[in-house]
Amino acid sequence: MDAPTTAAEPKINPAMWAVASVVFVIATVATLASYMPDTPPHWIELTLLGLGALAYLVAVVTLVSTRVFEWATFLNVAKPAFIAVLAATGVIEFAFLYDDTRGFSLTILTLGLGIVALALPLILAYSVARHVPSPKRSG
Amino acid sequence: MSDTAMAAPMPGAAAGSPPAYEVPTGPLVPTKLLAIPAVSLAILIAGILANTEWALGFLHVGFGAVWTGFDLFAGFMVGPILKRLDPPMRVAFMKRYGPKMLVVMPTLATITLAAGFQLARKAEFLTMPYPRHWWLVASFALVGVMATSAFAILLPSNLQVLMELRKPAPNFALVGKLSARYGTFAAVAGVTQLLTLIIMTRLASF
Repeated sequence: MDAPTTAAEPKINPAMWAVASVVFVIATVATLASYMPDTPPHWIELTLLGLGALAYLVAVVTLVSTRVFEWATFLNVAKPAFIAVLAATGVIEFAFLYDDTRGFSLTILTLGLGIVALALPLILAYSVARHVPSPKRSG
Repeated sequence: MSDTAMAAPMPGAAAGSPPAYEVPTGPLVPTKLLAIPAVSLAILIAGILANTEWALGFLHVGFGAVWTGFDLFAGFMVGPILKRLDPPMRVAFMKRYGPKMLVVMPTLATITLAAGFQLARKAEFLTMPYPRHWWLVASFALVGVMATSAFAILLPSNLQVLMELRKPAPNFALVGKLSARYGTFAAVAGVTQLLTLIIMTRLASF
């Protein structure tokens, strides 16, 4: 049996990309707030949110391309984390809807919450799984 | 945590009588602790539905004050003490402290933010004209700093420590490093909380 090894770490690991996606979402929401009661130019919001989505996609691609990784631990952490984050973001979304937030603002906020709900479990699960020794794959 | 199993000797233990490390084997977060977010979120939903300034003010100010207090206490009291503790004590502390913080802090943050958004809208803080509006923008920037340090450092470090301590032979050097990082960034969160207090009291005085 091969000796256990820890995951081969990319230069910018998936958790860092996922954190970047959360930072872009925060920047999007802060920009939205700075223009209230008006809405900011759509291209600013869409660009920031697009960069957030792109950073998250890069996180997923970097994660999937990690050749040696303890996926069982990753999923063990990611699943409950996703449920917890979904509950929290769900309540925040409920507050937006109840407050009659509508139109472009609601779309931006909902998409932002969606990215956060996906990014946080990835950050937590990767942070834990990267330190778990994994058997080397053959080939 | 009552469910434990004996495994690796603890580092820093006296020669000749190394106490075996007790591996926690129960759930990572004790089930009874989940009552805290369940009850808190139910209160939050009731507050949002009630939509009164008193209910929203209580939720935002009350839970926000507890969040601020926890961050200040963790950053300026627990963190420095944690950095100076011997490894076995640090491990014993984190085994009991970590699960509670894992549940309590995200709950406090969720309730403070959700009630705060609705309160700000109801009190028309979101539509304040400039230059007053800058205070609101500054508060969002601080929330950004707090959220980034919480999501990128505090929460993952806490979870990493708890998971590491569940291994039969934990990497105590890693636990020490992560605990020290946790203490440092808890202080960052404490400072941003103080700045948030300045902004919030200024907003309330308009």
